[in-house]
Amino acid sequence: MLLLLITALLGACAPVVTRTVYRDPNMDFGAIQTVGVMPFQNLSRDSLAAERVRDVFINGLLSTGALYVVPVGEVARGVSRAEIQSPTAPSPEEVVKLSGLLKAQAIITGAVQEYGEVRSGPTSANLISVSVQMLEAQTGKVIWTASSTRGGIDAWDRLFGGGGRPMNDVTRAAVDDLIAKLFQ
Amino acid sequence: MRAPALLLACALASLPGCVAVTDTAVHAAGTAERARGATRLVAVFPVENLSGKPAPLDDVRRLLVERLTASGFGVLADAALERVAARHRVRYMAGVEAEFARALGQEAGVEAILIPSLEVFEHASPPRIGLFARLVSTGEAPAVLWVDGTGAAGDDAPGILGLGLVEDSGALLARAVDALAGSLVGRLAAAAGPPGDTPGARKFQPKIVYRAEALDPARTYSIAVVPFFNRSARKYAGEIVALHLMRSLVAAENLSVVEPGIVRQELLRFRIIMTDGVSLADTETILGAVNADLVLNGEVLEYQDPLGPTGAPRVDFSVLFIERRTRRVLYSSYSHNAGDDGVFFFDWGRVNTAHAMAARMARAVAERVRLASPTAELRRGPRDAEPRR
Repeated sequence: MLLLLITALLGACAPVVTRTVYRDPNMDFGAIQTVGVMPFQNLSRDSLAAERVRDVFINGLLSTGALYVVPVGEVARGVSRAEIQSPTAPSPEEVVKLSGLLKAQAIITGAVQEYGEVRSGPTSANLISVSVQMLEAQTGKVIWTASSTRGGIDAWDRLFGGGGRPMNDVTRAAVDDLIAKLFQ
Repeated sequence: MRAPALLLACALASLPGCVAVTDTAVHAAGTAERARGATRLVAVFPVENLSGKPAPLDDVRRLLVERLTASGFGVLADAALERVAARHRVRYMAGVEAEFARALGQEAGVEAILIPSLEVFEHASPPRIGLFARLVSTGEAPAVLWVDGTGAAGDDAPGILGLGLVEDSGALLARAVDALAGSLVGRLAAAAGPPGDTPGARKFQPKIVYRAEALDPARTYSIAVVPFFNRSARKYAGEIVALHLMRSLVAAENLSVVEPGIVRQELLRFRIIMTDGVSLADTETILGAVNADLVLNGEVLEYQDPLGPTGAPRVDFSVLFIERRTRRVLYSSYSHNAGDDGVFFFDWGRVNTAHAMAARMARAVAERVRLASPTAELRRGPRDAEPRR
């Protein structure tokens, strides 16, 4: 009885865990062969974070061989021709228009929330937090979203220091995680 | 037993002090004799300054001219070069346009043009130098005949008690020019293979690679290199990485690179302004104008030389090859390295200049482009890499 009570109390104290992936159950993801990746929104302090993460994400997506990614220059041209005011957050109508220009079945947008070094007392480590969403070409509605956080200060860093993993490694780990969530 | 082991360790440690500080092969003096017959008159353009700082450009050019003259080449007089340039109203000398190359051949009898570019020149201890040069033919269809580069730091090979340290930037510059001139003479004499054809270390391989099945390693491709986007803090990093890649691609037998001066001329002629990478329409226009198969584009995110004797260089870039025929990406990769990657003991394997590291990273990219791989992708996604229905 006491054990049950303790378990219930501990459960009540635990943070609410929400799923970091949404997938439209009615969407046929197999029909998506070509995607365009929009510039990512940068909410971090590093002015280059969005470009870096987008670059790694595009290369990672191409390297799976399962999806073809339209070159960024062509996306920029499409954005200009479609007269999209805010490329990091296009409206459904703009997504439909842009998809037609790019001949893509989906558009991916993203946001970099955290990118760089975090500190806790004398300890520091690199951290990245990024979220992406896929928008369907025909309707512009969201069909998949995922987010990933990698790096940060762990027990090893607290005990022995070391500064954590390099930023490039952490970025690749986060992108790999996002791509794994897309194909899971 | 300990004393002999210590002696052996000391001897091994001193060996790096004896090796050349550059990454360019210095060829035998005998090759100069054969080179004389290959090319008679060369025009040496002013040195392009990619260092972003004041640099002894005249000294670099003077040394190059001296080495070429000593190897038996004729070098077009400055006055004659200026006369032809003035007649054709040419001011841009970091590359050569088709008409100017033709004019140099016809009016001055020049057979080839040497275009040097200085990447870095640091006086402070340890001194650093990075230098490129390329040889372009004159005539109706100017072609890049040879490209090479050399990067060296004064502390590349310190040896025992720092006896191998080079503290005089002038001495380092002379070595670099010697290495480049030796490579050029050797190449013209056909005594050596193309530069940069040795395999790169595994740690310099691109970290993410996409290689389409359509990229045929047996086919001959001509490549137009368009300026890379520079998002780094280093001035001219886009031009520098493009030169590194050009050097590695020219070394491949089935790849040829269009002279960047001609690509620049076409970009200006068609008023192509790239805001965020090369579009498919731009690709078609450029490749149609220069009659090439692939366009190479990319962006540089970091290109940083060490700030002092203890720092490590950092280079971070991505490349993209788009084919004219299919209008699709045939190759894409992302590379990043630091000079102290994989270095654990006594700085063994450490790279001291961004030039030397970028050269190896570019070589690894070129290897990936030209070599057939068992699968189209180096790395597949999780599971079967097929989106779930």
